[in-house]
Amino acid sequence: MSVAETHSLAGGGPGLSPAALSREALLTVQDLVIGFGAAAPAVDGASFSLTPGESLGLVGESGSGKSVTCLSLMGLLPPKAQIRAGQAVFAGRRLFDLGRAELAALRGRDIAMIFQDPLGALNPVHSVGWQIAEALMLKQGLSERQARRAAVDLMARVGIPEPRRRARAYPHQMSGGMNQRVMIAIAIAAAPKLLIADEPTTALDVTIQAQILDLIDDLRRELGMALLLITHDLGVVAQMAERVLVMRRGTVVEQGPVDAIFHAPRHPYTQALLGAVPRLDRRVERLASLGETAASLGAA
Amino acid sequence: MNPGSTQNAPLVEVQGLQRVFRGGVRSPLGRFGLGRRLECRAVDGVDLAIARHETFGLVGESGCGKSTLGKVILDLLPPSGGTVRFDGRQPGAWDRKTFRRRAQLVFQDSLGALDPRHSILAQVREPLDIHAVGVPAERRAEAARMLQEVGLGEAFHDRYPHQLSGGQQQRAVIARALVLKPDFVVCDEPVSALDVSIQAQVINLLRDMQQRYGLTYLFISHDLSVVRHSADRIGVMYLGRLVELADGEDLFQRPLHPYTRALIAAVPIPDPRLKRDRHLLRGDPPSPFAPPPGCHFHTRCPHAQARCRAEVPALRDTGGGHRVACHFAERLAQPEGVA
Repeated sequence: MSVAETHSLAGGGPGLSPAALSREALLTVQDLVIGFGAAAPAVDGASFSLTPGESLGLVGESGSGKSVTCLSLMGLLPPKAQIRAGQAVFAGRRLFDLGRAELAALRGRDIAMIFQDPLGALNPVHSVGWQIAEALMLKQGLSERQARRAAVDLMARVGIPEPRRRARAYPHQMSGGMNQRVMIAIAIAAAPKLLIADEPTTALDVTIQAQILDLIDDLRRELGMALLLITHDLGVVAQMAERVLVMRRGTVVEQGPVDAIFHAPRHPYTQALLGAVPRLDRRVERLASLGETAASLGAA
Repeated sequence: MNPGSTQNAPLVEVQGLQRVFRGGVRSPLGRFGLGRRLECRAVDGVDLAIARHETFGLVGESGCGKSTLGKVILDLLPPSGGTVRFDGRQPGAWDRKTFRRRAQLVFQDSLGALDPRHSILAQVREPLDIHAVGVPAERRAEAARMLQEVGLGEAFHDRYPHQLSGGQQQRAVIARALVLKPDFVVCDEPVSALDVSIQAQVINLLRDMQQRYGLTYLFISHDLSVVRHSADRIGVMYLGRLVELADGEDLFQRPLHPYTRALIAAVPIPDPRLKRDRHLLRGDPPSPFAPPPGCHFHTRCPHAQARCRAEVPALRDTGGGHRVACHFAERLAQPEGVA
């Protein structure tokens, strides 16, 4: 059955179906294990793949390994972390075998990333226009003059009003939503094939979050870019992702099309997670509480 | 006669409440006492009443003044104008200790709220010591009992805050807030820092405690889904003012203020089949230091007209206690809730 091939649970043999592999994957991650020192691995056998232009949501609670997984793809793991096993292949290249310079060339050009805290990710002593222009010079080889002009165009494209004037502003002079737009402008400067967004709207107010999510979705479609969206927010995933990967304690417990994950979840953890979220469209008497005794109270 | 002693009177009554923060000076002449001082009306004329045993939810985006309102109600910040009455009297008229004993708070940052150098049991016991409740052995027993009620058994008594998970820390904070058997608790973003599964546990715990002790909550949150789940009545704030106030179900089924509608429309719902018309708000909220005249929301409102730019809309009752501050609420009202 095709459903069984695409909607899979943990422990059912190798995480990748042959079907997923044959479909010209942009990114394939296979049996990834990442550890910090002697502690139990933070990521323990994660496998998934992403086709060009696809949006994949990676959900899980803190400590599930979702961010570490994505940092490893960018070669941005902290020094203490070790990739113990597994492979990641992006557009035919084995990411973990690349040298420092090759990775640096790949970052920003082929794979770009945006983070939760745009103010922390931007440089406080340069204007935002300059920071976008810098990305264009480095990754597109534009001259400074061309880059500065292109930066203003990019700012307009990500919905920053009065881009010519705002290009001269510094990050602290802009709101959180505007700074995240700047980050997105930098990320799409080189039209990457894959955008990794790690909790891109978690620090933003809900009306601003809606604007930013719409922007990311529009750009993905326009540029034919694949999106790997990391979030703890099930509502955001339901709205943004075509396929969903549920992680818990370093393993992928379930993955499948967004509709199957939300309407026919198979893993008890996914089911419990969905029951634990308060929803705007309905009121339940009592929220399901998962692992109340075992997970949170027993293990401190 | 003490007007608050009747059971039907609201526990908390807020009238025309204002809180102004004065910021730096815009002009370089400021040091000579010239130039215009920046002023932020964090709370700008709020009226509301919280009934006994209810959960009053207060929602709004960052900078709307919801936390400031909570602090003024708890007498942690003095008001700049207007009045707060707690059980019929202004907080200042209460004996300070009595007031603190009856009105407690739970904040978002539970690790910051706990003392890193004292064990959990000692911290839950401390309020009993301060208020000299019973003899020491009784206080210890009562603190232990309270911890047990929030799900922290004996194994946790001697632990320090950093040895607890975020959910356990928040449980300890709740135990400490409730150990004096208060009537009223302000919960300011009590679950915002927690993971989904832990969030559900803490929400359930707060509700259990309310039923057991007959508590009245002011539940402040930016998260509409959490507020919808937790609150009986809900107030929506925008730039220091209440723009809508209604029963929880009524608010979500029949939101009247354009801001409330936009807020509801912006919340992502965990159901991929739900396709909603999201008519997004444009732009950022204006600076609270320079709010627009008239209705504060007119700069982002899709229905704004000349009157909105000039005249501040009053918070008026549209029937059944559903109050809204919009000149054109009736004209705009069509059913477009979410449930």
